[in-house]
Amino acid sequence: MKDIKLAFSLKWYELLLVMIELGLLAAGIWACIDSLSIGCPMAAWRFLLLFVIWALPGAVILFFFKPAAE
Amino acid sequence: MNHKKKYILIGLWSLTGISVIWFFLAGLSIYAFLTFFVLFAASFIAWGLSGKITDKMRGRAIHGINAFWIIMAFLFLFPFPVPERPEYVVGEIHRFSEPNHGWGRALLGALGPNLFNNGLAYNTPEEIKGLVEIGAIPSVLTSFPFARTTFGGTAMLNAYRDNVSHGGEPAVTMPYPWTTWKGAKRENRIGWNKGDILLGDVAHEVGYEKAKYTPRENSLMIKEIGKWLGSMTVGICKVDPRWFYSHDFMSMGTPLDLKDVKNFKYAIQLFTDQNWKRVHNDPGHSWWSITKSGQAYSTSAWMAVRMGQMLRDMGYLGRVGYGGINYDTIESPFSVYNGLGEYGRLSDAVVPSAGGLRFKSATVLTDFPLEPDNSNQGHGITRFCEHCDRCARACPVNAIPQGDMTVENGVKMWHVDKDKCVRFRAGNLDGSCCNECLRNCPYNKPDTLFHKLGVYITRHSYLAPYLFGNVRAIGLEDWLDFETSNQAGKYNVNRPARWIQEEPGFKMKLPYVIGKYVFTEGDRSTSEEWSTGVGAEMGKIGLKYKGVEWGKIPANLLDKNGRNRNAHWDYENGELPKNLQCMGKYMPIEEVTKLLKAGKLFTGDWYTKDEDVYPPRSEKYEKGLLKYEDAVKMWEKE
Repeated sequence: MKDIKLAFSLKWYELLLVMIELGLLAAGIWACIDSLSIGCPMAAWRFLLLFVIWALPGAVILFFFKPAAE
Repeated sequence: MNHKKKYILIGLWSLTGISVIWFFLAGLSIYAFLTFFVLFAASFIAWGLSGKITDKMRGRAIHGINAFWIIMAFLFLFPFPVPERPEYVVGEIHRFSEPNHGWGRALLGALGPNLFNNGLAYNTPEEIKGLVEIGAIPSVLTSFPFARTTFGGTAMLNAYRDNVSHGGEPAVTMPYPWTTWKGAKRENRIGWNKGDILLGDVAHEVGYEKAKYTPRENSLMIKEIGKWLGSMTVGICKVDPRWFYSHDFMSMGTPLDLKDVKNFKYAIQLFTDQNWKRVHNDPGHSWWSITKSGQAYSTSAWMAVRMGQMLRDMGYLGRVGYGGINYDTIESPFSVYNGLGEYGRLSDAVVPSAGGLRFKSATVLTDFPLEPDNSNQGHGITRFCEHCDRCARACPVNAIPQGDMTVENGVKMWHVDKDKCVRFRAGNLDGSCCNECLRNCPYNKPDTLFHKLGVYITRHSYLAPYLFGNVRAIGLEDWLDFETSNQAGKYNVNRPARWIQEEPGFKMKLPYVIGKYVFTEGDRSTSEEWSTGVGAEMGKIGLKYKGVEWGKIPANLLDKNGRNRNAHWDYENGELPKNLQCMGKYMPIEEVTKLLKAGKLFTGDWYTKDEDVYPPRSEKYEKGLLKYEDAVKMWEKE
């Protein structure tokens, strides 16, 4: 089996944004599970959607808003 | 970048800007808020794919988005100071008359004979007749089995509320054989006396093991014991004498003299959850809507009578009050001035640590020296309710105000139309009572860590009420739609409201005397004409909310005059019997006046003119502006 090599570098502010994005998604999952646990599937789905929507601009900037590859 | 891409980009950024304008113009609509984020992201995708992006531009964009979230986190999560408990007392306050509270008026017949005879719709005419013959009030106690059990549970405990009677409340002295210890005998018993060891956590808290009976130690012990008995939380406050009812309901009008209760200096409040599932999954036409009240009342009562008995055994006073109708006092101020809650839009106390509105409490009044909780403790609830009117929107009969706070009886808060509320709750033809305000309140959630975070945010953040609230538009809580249940399925579908009405042209004959109490012209219900079916489209007329047009009564339930029919499934042909009578009687004003002056009848609610109140009001406590802090200081010296 070949070794899998991952290499990436992030600037500090990129790392911060990644953490924010992960935090938003984690909050969304927490909200979703919590709402499901109290019998509210609609609230669960919409909470998840809410946090995903909030995370969208940051994710877009991370993945799409960058200099074109050489 | 070519022109097409350029125009797309400009268009997207313009739409993003428009969504911001829409957000503010639409009154902070959650839809505009979410649309902004989506468009903002779309704009960046378009920009990223179509333009030449430099490292500097990317850096600036990331700095910008990071800064946005850091600022948001700061504004929503930073522990900004919690606002102090609002000053609700702004004018002269008079004591309330218990027979004149909403349920008192309905159950004593002051709102009309149809409601009196058929309120809580499961009663049968034979049962009503039998009850009236024995002098009992048709009520939840006489309705269907589980409600009978739970409310009956409170009635069964009446004998243990105290060992003496106050204000006409029935008190049957039923002491345990071992409650007569006095003096040295008392001190020798094993239990919680001076010198006995304290509960472990209290000992840890105070730093010593043997009881000294200091107020702080006593409060800690009472709280631990209250929780041990099953209370969700326990609050302690000093008593404001204006919270005592002026006249008693159970004995139909006996006045409560403040001199008789002057030794009650402290109030201990115990709480029971009405159960999230029962509230959340109540379709509004359930038989358990009223039962969950009874269950929580009787459970609170059982906790409180045991605490009251313990205090009496210790040689102190212990007078217990619990619902539905076994209180000496109004209950909600305890929850506000013991620092556990604040008044909300429903004119009731919202206590976040007890499910918001989803609790029933019982109170033990005592002279046991206690350290009260901080009466100024705020929670930001009144502030939040200024931004939220979900309960008002949900009310089937428009009883909850949608606007600003008003002043009634010297208290600035939201004031519910109690007659409309109780007419629907007592006379609901499609169920038993109501549940809509509780079910829709954002504070009504199980006490999970996530919900606690939400409560924390609304306590501390000045911005949160704008985002979570909905008075200007559909808000976050509306959009999330917690009402949809995966446990109850179709149960959570809101329904048109139908309730027992009085006959066309009905006008209550006043003065109306029942027991020792007189309902006078001043007590006439403001919703009397409405109760006869004038304006059959009742409720939130014209308000469409989540696809439901509230209060719209289906045509098949209206008679040929467009009036809501009193169709009752217990009766032949479905209609209520005609010419029903109330238990009390009309009496000419001259005769009433004579009996009032002779001290044989009593009357007067908070709005009654001084000269028409029998017996007279307290000059000391019911005149002029008297804040809570001043009133309790004066009461301490009584």
